[in-house]
Amino acid sequence: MKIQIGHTLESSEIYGPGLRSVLWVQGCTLACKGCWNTQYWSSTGGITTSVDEIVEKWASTPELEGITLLGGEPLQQVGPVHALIRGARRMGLSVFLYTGYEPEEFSTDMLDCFNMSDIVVTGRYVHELRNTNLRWRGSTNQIVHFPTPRYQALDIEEQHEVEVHLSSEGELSVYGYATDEFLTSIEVKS
Amino acid sequence: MSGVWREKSVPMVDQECAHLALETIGAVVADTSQAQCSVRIGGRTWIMSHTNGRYAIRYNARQAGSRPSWMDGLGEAYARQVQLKQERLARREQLTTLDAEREAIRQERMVMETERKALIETRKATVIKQAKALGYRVKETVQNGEVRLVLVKSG
Repeated sequence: MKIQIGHTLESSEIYGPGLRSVLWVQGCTLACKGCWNTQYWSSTGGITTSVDEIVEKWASTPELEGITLLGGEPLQQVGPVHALIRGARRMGLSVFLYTGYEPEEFSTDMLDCFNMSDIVVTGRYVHELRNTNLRWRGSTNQIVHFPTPRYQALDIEEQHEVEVHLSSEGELSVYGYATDEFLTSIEVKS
Repeated sequence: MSGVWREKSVPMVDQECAHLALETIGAVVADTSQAQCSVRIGGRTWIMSHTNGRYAIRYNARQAGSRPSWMDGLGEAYARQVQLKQERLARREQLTTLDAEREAIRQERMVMETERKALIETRKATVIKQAKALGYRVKETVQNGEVRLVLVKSG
């Protein structure tokens, strides 16, 4: 089964508990005003890859606690995303799913994805309600759900998080809620 | 949902490869010193300077349309020149029977490696300094040659 992916990060610490492999699923028609990731809106952008290939890669990274799916809108490729979640669960990895949909908008397949995930953040990004000091959410209307018992006892300490990756060739990548001031100061943005 | 910002190309740390890359995309490089050179391309002259461990050509990003289109191909051309340089060194090493030549090749590789490491250290130090100035706590991890810095600030 194929999936369109905008970007992947082999390991990250800011998209959920522990060390996680992160996938930005390509394509989103929700078009939230002020969206941070408009580059992942087009359904034809990114690369096409196979679900099996992604799952195999997770298997070769033993230190992972889980995977995080965001985008784009993961639930607009609900078939492959369902397969990815099943693959992660088979390996004992936890699943963190971001969706701009509200639970009442879910189709049956979307609801399956929700129920199989350990943490889900739901709701559109609302620019007027933007708050970068919330952990794992960008606006105050977004809700964190714990559909499985795995992290139900987890205490979410609200904080502002940014992650900077410096490749072996010296390229910088920045993830999270970085401010323009910070991005300019490290020359990632002019 | 949070943002993703990624640099579009590999930073240029090797002067020889940077010059060859510029020539590949049609530029004429002149007035070369270790610190800077002039680059003539597209009917204009630009200055390429060595700052913070890398060679860069500055333009006014706030001015619409000021980023010249030839810059899009420069990163790829540079990466290609680095690869070609490594292949050249490997060929020279295979062919030579002289110890002095082997030593020269070893030195050249060492310079490239030193420049690469220096760039990483410089950029890491800049990120940490700027992050701390903005009130972040910083946690550093190195995994498979990649440096990961997690910056956290309480609300």
